[in-house]
Amino acid sequence: MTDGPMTDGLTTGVPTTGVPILRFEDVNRDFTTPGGWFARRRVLRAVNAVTLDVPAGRVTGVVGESGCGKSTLARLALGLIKPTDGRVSFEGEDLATARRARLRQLRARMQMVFQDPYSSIDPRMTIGDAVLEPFVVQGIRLTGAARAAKAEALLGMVGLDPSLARNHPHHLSGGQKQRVGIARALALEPRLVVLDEPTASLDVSIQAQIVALLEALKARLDLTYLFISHDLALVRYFCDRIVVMYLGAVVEILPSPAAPIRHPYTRALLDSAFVPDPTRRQTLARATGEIPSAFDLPPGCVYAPRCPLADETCRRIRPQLDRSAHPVACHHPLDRAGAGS
Amino acid sequence: MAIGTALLSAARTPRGAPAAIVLVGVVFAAIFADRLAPYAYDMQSLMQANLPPSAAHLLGTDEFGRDLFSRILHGARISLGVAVTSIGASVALGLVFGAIAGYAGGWADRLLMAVVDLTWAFPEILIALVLIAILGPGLGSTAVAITVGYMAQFARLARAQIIALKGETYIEATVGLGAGHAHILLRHLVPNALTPVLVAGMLATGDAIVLEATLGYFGLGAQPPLPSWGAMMSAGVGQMFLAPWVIVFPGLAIAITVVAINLYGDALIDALQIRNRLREG
Repeated sequence: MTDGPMTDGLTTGVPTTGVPILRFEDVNRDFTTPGGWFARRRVLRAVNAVTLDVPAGRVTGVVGESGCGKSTLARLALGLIKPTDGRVSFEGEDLATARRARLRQLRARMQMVFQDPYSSIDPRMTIGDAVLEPFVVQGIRLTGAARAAKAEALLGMVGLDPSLARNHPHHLSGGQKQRVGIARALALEPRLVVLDEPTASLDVSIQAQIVALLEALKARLDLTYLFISHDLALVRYFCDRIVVMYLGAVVEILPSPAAPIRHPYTRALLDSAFVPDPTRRQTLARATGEIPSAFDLPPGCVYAPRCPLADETCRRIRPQLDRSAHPVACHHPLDRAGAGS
Repeated sequence: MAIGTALLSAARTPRGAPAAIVLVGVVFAAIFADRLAPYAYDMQSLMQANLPPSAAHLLGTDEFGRDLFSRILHGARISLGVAVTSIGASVALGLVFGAIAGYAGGWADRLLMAVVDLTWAFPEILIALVLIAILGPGLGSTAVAITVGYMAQFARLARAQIIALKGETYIEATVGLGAGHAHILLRHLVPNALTPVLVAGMLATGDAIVLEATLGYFGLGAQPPLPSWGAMMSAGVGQMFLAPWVIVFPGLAIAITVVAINLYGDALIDALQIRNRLREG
């Protein structure tokens, strides 16, 4: 790939590998249900006091159950929604206060691949128009021949036949559409790509192909990924660093996929994964009980109602993420549980 | 399905086919009324007043001896022309208001929809009568009256479509690319919202023909000697028993055209599979 046209003037301060490209600083995001004549307005805290760095050139995974706020985190990362409190910054610039024109420039450098490939392409657009739309939006004029060449290059990059350019999305399979989604996201040669469960709505065999494509593209284009998923096994395979979220809060950050698990919730999440080998299956069902309503969070640890290790302290005082190399928000982390009580 | 192919496939259904033939005929008559009409629409011949249908006058003559067939052909031009242009303007305005209201939301939505709902609350004929009372009778005022009278339904329909489409992932994806409001609205939302609004517009054209005829019947629309179907019917009332063809044939022209529009529109809705999208209005 050649240098992207939009990288001009923005190349200053490009972080090298390991330096945070994206920062969340004490970010909260609330959603308010509309009040009516008889219904009180209710506030749901989707993302709760998240502080997180996404290092450049790495793959940071975010895992958690549905409704844990991971998709909200993805949208906050790209400035698609604004934080209620706190600051989200990309390459040092606050996304919430960036001016419209500046935000457009920044968006050329941070892109998203969406969960549902079926609805992420306008049904009235041809595939060629869809992959070239990023240039139209960014005001980059391409002439007829350059358009065709660019569309062909982008489709080729994600392993699609360039002849698909004339087709409409409904002629494509889910896997092909997700490749189109990836081509659109990479068209402007971004630095950061947020992958919001890019394989969740695909067949298992197709999932593996998409993950392989994402790995190959990352190596080739020097990308930083923020990979959102509910599949801890996939995240452990794909990511360098794993953020575990529960009810909007970060409960553990695994510095490497192989790091020993410290939070009981991460343990439960891993145990609940399906193990194909029956001799290795465990019959543990650790995550029992109710998930507290995000409208009405308990005062103590949000995981306490389901946690086998929870005691009175857990129910009263909310644990904070510690500042170690392997941060965990737990009063009884697993590596200390045996020695402690 | 694209609207072009849907137009054709609707014309091949058992309900749509005869309707399509009638509509093509009426449009053809409206366009080529000058060439097809055997007489000028305003040529009087008092000696031949109120003649029944015959070989010389296919549909007979009216009280001034004018050829009814010629007048009905010219009437098609006026009735259809007024209905189509005013519904066209109505659809365009409704799309603009509905799209802005649905996209902007908040106070802009409430303000625009309050105005739209105000016109929605009264029957079209009442709005039309009030407007014509202000503007004075004539074809122009009729067109304005129809445009305003029907706009509310298109605005509401467009707004509902835009609100539903706004939540689609491809809109968020396009915002993520850095797109501004104009791009989102004009490239994605309006094109995707267009089909149901156009079909609703087509169905409303039938109603508009009836409204134009009603206003013409009251003498508020086309002024003599211009032949509009409604005005022709009102002229026939006096001779209803002496020369019933004077009122019956324009009435039949209205009925056949409106029924054809409704049947064809219905077939089109099925061909496009948008029946559920038309409900909000």
